[in-house]
Amino acid sequence: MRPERTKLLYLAPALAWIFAMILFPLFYTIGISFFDYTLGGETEFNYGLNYLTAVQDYRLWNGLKVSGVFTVVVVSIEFLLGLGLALLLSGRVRGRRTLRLIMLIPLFACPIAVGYLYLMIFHQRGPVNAFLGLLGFVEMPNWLGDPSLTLFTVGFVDIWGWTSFMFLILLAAIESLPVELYEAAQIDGASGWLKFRKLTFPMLLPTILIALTLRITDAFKIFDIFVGLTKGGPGISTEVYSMYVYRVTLEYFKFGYSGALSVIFLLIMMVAINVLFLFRRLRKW
Amino acid sequence: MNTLSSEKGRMDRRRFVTYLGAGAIVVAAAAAGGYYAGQRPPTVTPTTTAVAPTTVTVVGPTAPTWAPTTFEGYKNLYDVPVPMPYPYKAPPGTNITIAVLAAGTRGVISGPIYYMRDSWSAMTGATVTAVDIAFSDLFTKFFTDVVTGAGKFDAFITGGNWYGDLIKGGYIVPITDYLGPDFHTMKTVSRSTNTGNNHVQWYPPGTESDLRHEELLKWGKDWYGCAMDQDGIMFYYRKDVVNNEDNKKKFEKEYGYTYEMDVNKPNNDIWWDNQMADILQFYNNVHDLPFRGNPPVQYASSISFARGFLSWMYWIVLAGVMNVIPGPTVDRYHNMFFWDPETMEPTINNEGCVKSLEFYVDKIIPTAPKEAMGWLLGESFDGMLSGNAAFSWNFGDIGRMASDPSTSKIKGKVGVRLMPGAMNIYDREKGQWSKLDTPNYVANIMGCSWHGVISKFSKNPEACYDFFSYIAYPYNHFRLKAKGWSGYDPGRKFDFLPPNGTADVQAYVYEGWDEGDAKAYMEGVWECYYAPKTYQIFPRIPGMRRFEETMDVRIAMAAAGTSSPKDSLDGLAKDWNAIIDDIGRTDMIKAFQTDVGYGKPYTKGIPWA
Repeated sequence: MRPERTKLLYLAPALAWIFAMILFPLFYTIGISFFDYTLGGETEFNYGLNYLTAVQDYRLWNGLKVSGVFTVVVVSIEFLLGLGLALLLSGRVRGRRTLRLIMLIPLFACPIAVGYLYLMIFHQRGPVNAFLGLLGFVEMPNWLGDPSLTLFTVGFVDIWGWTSFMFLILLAAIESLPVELYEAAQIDGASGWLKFRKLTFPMLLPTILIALTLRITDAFKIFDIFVGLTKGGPGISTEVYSMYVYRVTLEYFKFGYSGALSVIFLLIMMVAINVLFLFRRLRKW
Repeated sequence: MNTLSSEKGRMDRRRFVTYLGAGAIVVAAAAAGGYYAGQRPPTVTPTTTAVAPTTVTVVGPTAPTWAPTTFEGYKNLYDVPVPMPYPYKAPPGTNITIAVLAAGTRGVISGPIYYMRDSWSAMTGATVTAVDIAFSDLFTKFFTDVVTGAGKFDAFITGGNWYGDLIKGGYIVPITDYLGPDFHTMKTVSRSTNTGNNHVQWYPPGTESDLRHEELLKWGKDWYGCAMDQDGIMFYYRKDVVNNEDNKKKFEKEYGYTYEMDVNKPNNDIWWDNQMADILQFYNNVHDLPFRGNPPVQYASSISFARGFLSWMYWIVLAGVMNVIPGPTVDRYHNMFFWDPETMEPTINNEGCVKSLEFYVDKIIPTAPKEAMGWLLGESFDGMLSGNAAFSWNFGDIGRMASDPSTSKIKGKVGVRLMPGAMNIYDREKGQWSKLDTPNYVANIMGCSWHGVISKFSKNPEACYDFFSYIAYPYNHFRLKAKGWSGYDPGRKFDFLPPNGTADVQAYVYEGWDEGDAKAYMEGVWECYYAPKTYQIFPRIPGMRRFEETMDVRIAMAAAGTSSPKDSLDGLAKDWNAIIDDIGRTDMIKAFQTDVGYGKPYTKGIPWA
């Protein structure tokens, strides 16, 4: 067999997978977003009316707002915490192997189970408020019933679960940095902060961008913890974008409209990731 | 040439990969074959034997003992699975798969399915597979199954509110053919013989359901379900606390008037605006109460505000008394709610509804604990059953569960009455408020009123009907309703105590009820359903799931304070108009008018009164 055909033969399963699991669903979704397609009803081409309806839909804007605020806050905190812990545990710290292992435990927890677990922990009469009572608090926060608090409560749960991910990636990157540069900097009398600013951070930047990209896309499409903890309430204060798309798809059965919502989401994420990757073009840090 | 090695006896890379791929394909094929072979359903063999009836002989529908009227009659039947000859035999290997609410083998609505299936299997030779599904996924799973034609389920335990979509698409089959002629009167036949099979007679004289709940089993002239659960929202109170004389004296001193909660005592009118609001506020100041009861009450109201499980109903029944006006017929302005039946224009944001939501947000919500913002239905039950709450308005489950020591700390302390009325009602026709001399009370059958319906894709529809008729069979049905865990609320003649019905209170005591609680509960439920001069319907039109979901969201926003009541209801009217236009306004007008019985005379709904 000719070498080119052999290569295609070996590539065929992967190509088939990409087509079946990525390309076909993508183009199908884009296609149905231009139809009024309701399960059990008639399908009709509607010239993109779904997109016009979407921009006038208050729940779409609410979902974008909730998901956006959530993503920015939790990813920032996870990054800072993960970086700090990675820097700390990359050095000579007693018990660092045990500490590293403990840091990874939240990664193995099932998100929906974590959601239900924290439902009990943050219950009005749960352990958190009991502890606050011991500290002398009289008026307990309504962690999951106060619209001004609930999103941050869910954010706390996400930070607990995903800081480990940041920690793991950044720790691996830190440990692969060349030691000689730090020895040279040490000889030149560079301070710790100067070493971080001029050596560590610039060398970590590509890894940081990858880690942020992964976490931002993941956080923006989060669903499971919100279902377990709040179901979008109180009101719609924690109804993230993916939750609304789920409702439109599986409660309203409006597949055409949910296709439009999904395409809008895709476009937003593409823009966001491209903005993030503009940082790679920075030549001077 | 690519080779692993040029040494003699070693395999080259191409051959190695070829053998590896062939081996993988063989293993995969073997695994797939093994998997599908394992999926073949086992041969069904009933493992229990039918218990021969010993005490009851069927003598026909005119016999007075079709429903147990004495405790002795009930007790004798208690341990007999089916106290009559039962000739229906399913074809060999028949299995029916039923989708039920996920509440477990002794949980609400699903429990009776598990409880009854073994004895039914022993009689008929068929088996029942119950599939538990969470409430939030129920409609999705049903609808997807029938619309896609997957046909995984033979039958579903559905809420009556979902009929619109199921009927519109022709996804469920009527059971009219199995019922036989003269079904409702049952004067001449003892069993249906239309199909050549006999099924247990579940609706003879003396076992009637009230007409409004009966309507939920039908669409137009066709029947689709057998009686199972008969829901409504009742008003519960801690009678040891609320009837305490010291508390009442203090209330009178503070507010200048007194009240009477018990419906069997005189002057027992209660109305929301503002009497009930005052009473809730009084009992919310628990530390100032002379008597808090045992267990001591911690707050006034146990209702829930979380999204996802019918929380909007707590407001709807309040809005009903301020907006539904009685009249001799079901017309545009009388006995009507939700929509204008001529135009399907939502009336949910009229002045009366806005005022009721403002009342709810300002005066009612502050009397519930803060954590109720995140409560689902079970927690609102628990707030009352644990003794923490002085009041709750909720489904019939609380009354049934109050006597069960595993779930209740308030056995013997529960009062039940019809929902408070309103002294000011909004007249849509005149566009103004009317002040009344006596409260406007509104009956309601709010709730799912769960019952089984048969999928059009079922290969065993008759077996499904037979199982559901077996559950609805009076002896079995009464037994299940008397059990606290079943989730079946009263509504048939044999549920109520005399003079309203034919039950013996000792039958309830035998099942563990407190006698006083049982009497109060049955009297209160009766009052809830029949005492008022008008009622609030439960819409069953197409798209109902979408109407419910949008209402759930908007009311939750108002309850959480993220939107004003007026903005919430204006937004809701806009959402509903969009849904109606999407489905088709003309079709929706027709469906809604059929559903409410537009133009028909108003009926109190008691066929045996």
